[in-house]
Amino acid sequence: MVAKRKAALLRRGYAALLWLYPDEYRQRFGDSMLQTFDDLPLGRKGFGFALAVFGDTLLSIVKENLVSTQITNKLALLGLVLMLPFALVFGVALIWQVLNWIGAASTPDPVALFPNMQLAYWLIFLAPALALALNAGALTLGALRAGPRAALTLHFARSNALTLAVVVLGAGATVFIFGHDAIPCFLKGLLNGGWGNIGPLFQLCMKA
Amino acid sequence: MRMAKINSPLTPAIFHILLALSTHERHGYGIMKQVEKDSAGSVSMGPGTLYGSLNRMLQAGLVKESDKRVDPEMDDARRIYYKLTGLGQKLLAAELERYKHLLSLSEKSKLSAQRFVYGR
Repeated sequence: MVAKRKAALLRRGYAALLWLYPDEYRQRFGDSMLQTFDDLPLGRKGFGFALAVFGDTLLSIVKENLVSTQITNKLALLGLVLMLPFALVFGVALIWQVLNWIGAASTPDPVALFPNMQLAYWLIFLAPALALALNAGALTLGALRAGPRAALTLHFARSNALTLAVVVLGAGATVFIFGHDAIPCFLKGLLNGGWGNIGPLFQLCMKA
Repeated sequence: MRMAKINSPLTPAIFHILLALSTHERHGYGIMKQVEKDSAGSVSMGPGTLYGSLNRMLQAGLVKESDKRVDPEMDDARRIYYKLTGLGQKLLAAELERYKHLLSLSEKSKLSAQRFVYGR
């Protein structure tokens, strides 16, 4: 009775695992894989064997997802990698700010950490803009290929979800990097002075 | 469907699947059992490796799905049997020929596994 319940639990877990395969692959081999799993002598061979079967399937899932990844998804993955250094710097800076705020640490001198700080800044801060440009370009091309009617559907957004996410993250990071002083200055000036002095306000805030 | 290409030397998984299908059409678990038997337990593949390899072999035209249901004890509507194609047979023959050549080469040079073990 307990063995049957364990077997049913393992089967349910394996069936859930199969959902991680790419759609096309799962539709073609999902049923056969589950059938083969049912055939395996899991009860006789023990827990180690079951673990090996799950491990083998997990590795295969990673491999099949990488193989089936389309060019747009590859650009999205590249975009995520490009944004990684900025995310790290942002995270570390945030922690340092909090530590500084509670008096647990003083803000470090970045030049002491990286002697060639200017180059590091350019590499770290330009990377999200590059990720944004690449993915926005890919998304625009995809939309042009699909046509305006198809590009404005939920299906298009869903099938380009990763690219869209990188565009949003890249845009957010780029705006933060190049405008984290200028944007608040501009908004504040706009609220106080209205649209009348927008030209001088723009010039003033770009120097902020 | 795009045609993939599988080059020699074959991976152990693909070689053993070709070998398992060379005598009979088999379903997934049948292939797994035969591979374990052929390799005396040294090659054991899970469903992930098996179906990943079968996918590539189908794409390369080395195997195809069969209509036959040849294992009445284990038959099930979902069970799909696979068989070798002409190309699969040719590739297996070429790979076996390659192994034979390597074996004769090692025999000519009087090589043995023990010769490579230091201190013996």
